[in-house]
Amino acid sequence: METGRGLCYAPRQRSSHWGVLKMAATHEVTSLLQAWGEGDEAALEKLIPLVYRDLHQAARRYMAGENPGHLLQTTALIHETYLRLLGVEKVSWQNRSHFLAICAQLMRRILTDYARSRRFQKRSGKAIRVKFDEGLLVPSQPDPDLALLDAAMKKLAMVDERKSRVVEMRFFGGLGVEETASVLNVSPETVMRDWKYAKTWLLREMSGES
Amino acid sequence: MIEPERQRRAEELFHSALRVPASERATFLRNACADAEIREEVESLLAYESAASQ
Repeated sequence: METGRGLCYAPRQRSSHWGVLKMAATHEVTSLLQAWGEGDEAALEKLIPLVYRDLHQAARRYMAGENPGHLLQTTALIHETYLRLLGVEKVSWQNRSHFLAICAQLMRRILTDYARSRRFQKRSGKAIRVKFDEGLLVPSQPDPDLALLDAAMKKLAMVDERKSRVVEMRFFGGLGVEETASVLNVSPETVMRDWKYAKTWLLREMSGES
Repeated sequence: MIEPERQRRAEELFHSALRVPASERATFLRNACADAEIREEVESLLAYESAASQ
């Protein structure tokens, strides 16, 4: 299988084995997802490092793009990586939601670390700007940067942890209302209320008032 | 940061106030809540709500 060292390869250094290795790794993720879907809890533990690596690669590719200061589409990053895999027959809807929730958590960590890294800021000269899906932020306001969002979400978690998780899943994972509700074991109405309140709360927090 | 019990009350009032026309919210809050700190919290959030929901 592919090792973690693959992350450090610059594209021109990739060997011709790259494609083969990548396929093997994808196959491994698929098998683990299926095993987990069939009730093998240990498969999830093996899956997480692979998912972390995949998402890290997706984020790196994205950030290496021509315009690194442009708006992030985190949902697209996760979906691009796993959309095909999540179609596998034996992953139930509940497991799919839980899996996306885990992806959301990992993606939040990866992107926030990236946003804070001095190397990125030095190269791009800009912070990574974010825009929530479903229009959390108004076009007339400057988009806040990702590090600021993470800090505000940590504060929100201290006030109400569930609301912070709702934002994490919906924004970083692209989970729908029903999927988020299923992971948190609450009603869809509760998720909608949490989402509405949390968006407002975060916007205020990021504007520097509270 | 206000304590959890009052935070919950503020959240309930936030959602209730959103069902009242914007022009009547101040009156609604004065009638619905005697606690000035909670009222201020709700009013402060409501000021950001229209921006957040656009």
